[in-house]
Amino acid sequence: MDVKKEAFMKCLGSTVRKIMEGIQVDFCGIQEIRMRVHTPLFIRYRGREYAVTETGGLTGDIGTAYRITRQDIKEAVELISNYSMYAYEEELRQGYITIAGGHRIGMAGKIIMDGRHIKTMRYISFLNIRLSHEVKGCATDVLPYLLDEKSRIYHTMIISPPGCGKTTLLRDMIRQLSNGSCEREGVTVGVADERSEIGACYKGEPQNDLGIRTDVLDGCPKAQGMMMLIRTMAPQVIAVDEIGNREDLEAMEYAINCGCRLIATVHGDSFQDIQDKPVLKSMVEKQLFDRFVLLNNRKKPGCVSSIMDGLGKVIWQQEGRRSCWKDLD
Amino acid sequence: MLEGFGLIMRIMGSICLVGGMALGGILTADRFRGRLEEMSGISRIFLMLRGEVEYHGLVLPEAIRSVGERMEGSLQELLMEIAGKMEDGSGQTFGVIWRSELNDYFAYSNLNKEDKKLLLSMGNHLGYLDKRMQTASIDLFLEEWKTEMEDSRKRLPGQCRIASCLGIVSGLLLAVIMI
Repeated sequence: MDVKKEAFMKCLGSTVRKIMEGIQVDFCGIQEIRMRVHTPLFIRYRGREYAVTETGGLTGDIGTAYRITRQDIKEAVELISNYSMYAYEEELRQGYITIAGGHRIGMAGKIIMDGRHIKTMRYISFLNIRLSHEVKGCATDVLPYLLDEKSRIYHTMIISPPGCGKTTLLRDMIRQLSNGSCEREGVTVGVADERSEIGACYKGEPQNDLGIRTDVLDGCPKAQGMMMLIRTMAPQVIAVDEIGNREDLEAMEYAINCGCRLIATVHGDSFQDIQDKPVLKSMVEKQLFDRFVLLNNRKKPGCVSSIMDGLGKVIWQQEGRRSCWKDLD
Repeated sequence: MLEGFGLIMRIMGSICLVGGMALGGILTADRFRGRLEEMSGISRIFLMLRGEVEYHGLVLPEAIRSVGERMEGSLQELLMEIAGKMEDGSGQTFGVIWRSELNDYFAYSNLNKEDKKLLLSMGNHLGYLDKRMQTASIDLFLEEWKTEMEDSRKRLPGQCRIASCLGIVSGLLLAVIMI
């Protein structure tokens, strides 16, 4: 069995595991599994939602679907946390746990507050298991626009709404830059992976392929992570996901002044959208970035809609479906 | 002639009986001592487990394996079995694994019914709560366990004496009745 599939199966309780083992679809196409107590088991498969029957069949009729019990959730939570909820206090406060294989499990239930802060979560009743699938090669078409004449990466910002594949694109860019190619030497990449989304580290070991010259600081706040990487690992390129606050801006300026190249992602619908946010606007005005890559999911997740230079001038624009990831077809 | 032979047989039988009953008494006393040793081993397990959880932040399977590696004999086997079952991803809950492995272990154990009950109850508390509550629940268990151990330690010399004496006396009594 595929390692990622095996890791995913291990986080399911006996009943749901049996159902998922009997499911007759391509595992690579499953994007997420939704488990909500007393409601049907749903999966999102190739962009569409299906209910799952007790025998593992996909159906649109929720009356015939298997209904998740409290025991199913209890078992899954126990397995997801490796029988050790106490070891995931911080993750529970954030609302998700990353497991082996890089899969990310979102949880919801009763929040226990400690003053103004979230202390922990009890009575977990809702799970969203987002399966991690790498899309190797998805950055191949984009990368030539992001390299200068010496084949060094420009300071690049990937802009996209949630769920459009910016982390997947970033991950593949890291992998390709780190590994190098016939035309381009590999470079040392430092990844400040605050939410374990890029490398999906499990016990410090990246579950996703980030290349042979990549160092990952897992679970470390981005701003501190960038500083630490510069001081300790001497990266030529620093990659961070979902930047947005002033501390990030300061750390990025420091990184750029240290001679590092920067790749970052940010939530946004358009170039204009990021200019409406004070911190991001300041980054644009200071011309910290030389390239902006805009993604959308109008046709499917992962479509590059345009690439702009540091001044916001479009240097490439989507035509047809050429830039969408082939692997998601 | 036959009468003399019968008497010799009765005397020999009585000696065997007294010897057997005395041995039974000694073994019972040994069981009491064994229980105390076992309790002390289990107490050490939970103390180490507490350390692994609190200071190393290990997840339960790793913590149990790590403690198991430092133990010896049947307790080591027990911990390694539990850790192995948790790691193999069979989908069983911790409570189920804990109960099933402990029940196997109890077949060869010197622990009494109350000890077993207390130990089994830990299957409902380990792994579930946050770190502070986790260590607190181990502390609570250790407190109860140590009280039980102290009682047992105090009673041990008397229990051992009674078991040995009872063995010999009951053997003698039966021998007298036989002869």
